[in-house]
Amino acid sequence: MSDYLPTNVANQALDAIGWPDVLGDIEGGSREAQISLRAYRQCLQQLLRAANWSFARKQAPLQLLADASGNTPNVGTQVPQPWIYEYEYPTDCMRVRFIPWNLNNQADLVPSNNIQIPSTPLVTGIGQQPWLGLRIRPARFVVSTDFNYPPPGGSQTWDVQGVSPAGRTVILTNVRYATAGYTSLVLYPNLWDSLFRAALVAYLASEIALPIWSKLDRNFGLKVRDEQVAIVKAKLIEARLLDGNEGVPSSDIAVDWMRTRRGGGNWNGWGGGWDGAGGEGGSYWGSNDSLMLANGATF
Amino acid sequence: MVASLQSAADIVNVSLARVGWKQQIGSLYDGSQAAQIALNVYGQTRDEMLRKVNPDFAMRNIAMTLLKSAPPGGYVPAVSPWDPTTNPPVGYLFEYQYPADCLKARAVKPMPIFFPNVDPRPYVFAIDNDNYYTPPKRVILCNVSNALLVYTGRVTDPSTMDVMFVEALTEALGEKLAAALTGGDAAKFEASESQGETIAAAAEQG
Repeated sequence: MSDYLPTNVANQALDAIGWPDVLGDIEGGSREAQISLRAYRQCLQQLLRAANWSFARKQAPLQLLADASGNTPNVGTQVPQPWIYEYEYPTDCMRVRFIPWNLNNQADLVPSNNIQIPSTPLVTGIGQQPWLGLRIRPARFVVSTDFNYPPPGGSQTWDVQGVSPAGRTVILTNVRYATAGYTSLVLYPNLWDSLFRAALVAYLASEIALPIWSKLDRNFGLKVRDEQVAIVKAKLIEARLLDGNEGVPSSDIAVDWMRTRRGGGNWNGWGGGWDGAGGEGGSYWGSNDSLMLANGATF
Repeated sequence: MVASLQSAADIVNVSLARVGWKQQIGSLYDGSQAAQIALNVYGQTRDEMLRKVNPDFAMRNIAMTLLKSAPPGGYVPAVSPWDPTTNPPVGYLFEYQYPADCLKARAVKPMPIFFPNVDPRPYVFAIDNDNYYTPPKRVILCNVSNALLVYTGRVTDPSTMDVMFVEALTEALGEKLAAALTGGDAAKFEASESQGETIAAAAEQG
């Protein structure tokens, strides 16, 4: 059988804590399997959030829920101020990294007296403005919960991230036709980076060490847990460094005077000028989270 | 490895030897004093050990039989109130029949759509006696539709048992036989002393 199954990962974690048994199936129902199963998905999700893993990057269009301008049919118009658009939080999204924006998807709600691109093109006959090659910049966004747009009745909401009978998790931004670059939930271990797998094994081991050893040798369980926590930290440092060295760094310092150069005059809160990417509040980048560790520390 | 002991009588004879009993039995039904006592405790001890060790060879998977379910829209007064004769206890969506050969329910899970399953999740369940049946039925309560049950089943054929499990079973059986046959002398103590280690080994071997 393949080495790329959750059971294999759980068995590696059991090996790491020195447990003599192995699992045939993580859903097999033995005590070790039950403890591993309870921790597995939570560890996977938290670790995905803890660094900008390249393998988990995904870019996808967002589903519009509401448009404050009222220009989009068949969607709501109630959007928390000062935002224009409200999108569904993707169900496989672990963390939003950025919302790309360029001239082609600027908001169509431009307050009067704002500087804006004229609706009449200066030169005709050139067709639609090409998307490729345009400079893309991150737009402000914020993740929130909105109680105005609950899912349709009968939905099985308790099993889906970001959806509840009372409301749902949403992304607020001023970008029209927005897409999001985000860290997605990658369930298949054969898609994982080897560094991620090693970190997950150590993280899972640190979470299950104490409950598994608690009946036989609690002190040994505590000792192993702390050893595994140290391994998780080392792997995360490496992963965060690699993120900076291999591609676009995940942090960005927004300098006010540079941002102002690209925007026109502000107008009572819509902010950011004509470009639609600005706005008050929110952030341009979603940086990685701290990881909560089994010994109570965060890293 | 499969045990070389092929019958219940073989297992009982090993247990008798452990406690120093000189005579062997031909079968559990031969009417001897040892056979009569063994007949009383063998089945219970075997099931007790299967439940305690949860060996791999006793693991079974079945699609459970649905007995009761909650209305899709929930309980609405005057429209679809809770009726214990057709609905499971409040807090659970589904009530399934407890398998007749089940010694221990290990896990409940949904029928996988893709296999192998790369998104395993824990699902809570509870064992209950439904007193709204006559006679009351043992049932499994959970929130999983079309649920599969992973459980430890009753294995009666010693030839399909793992050798380490048989070793643990003979020790456990010896402890009970010693008490009955010898009146609880040193043999009983000796048999029970090493039992913990053997059970752990049996669990490790599956």
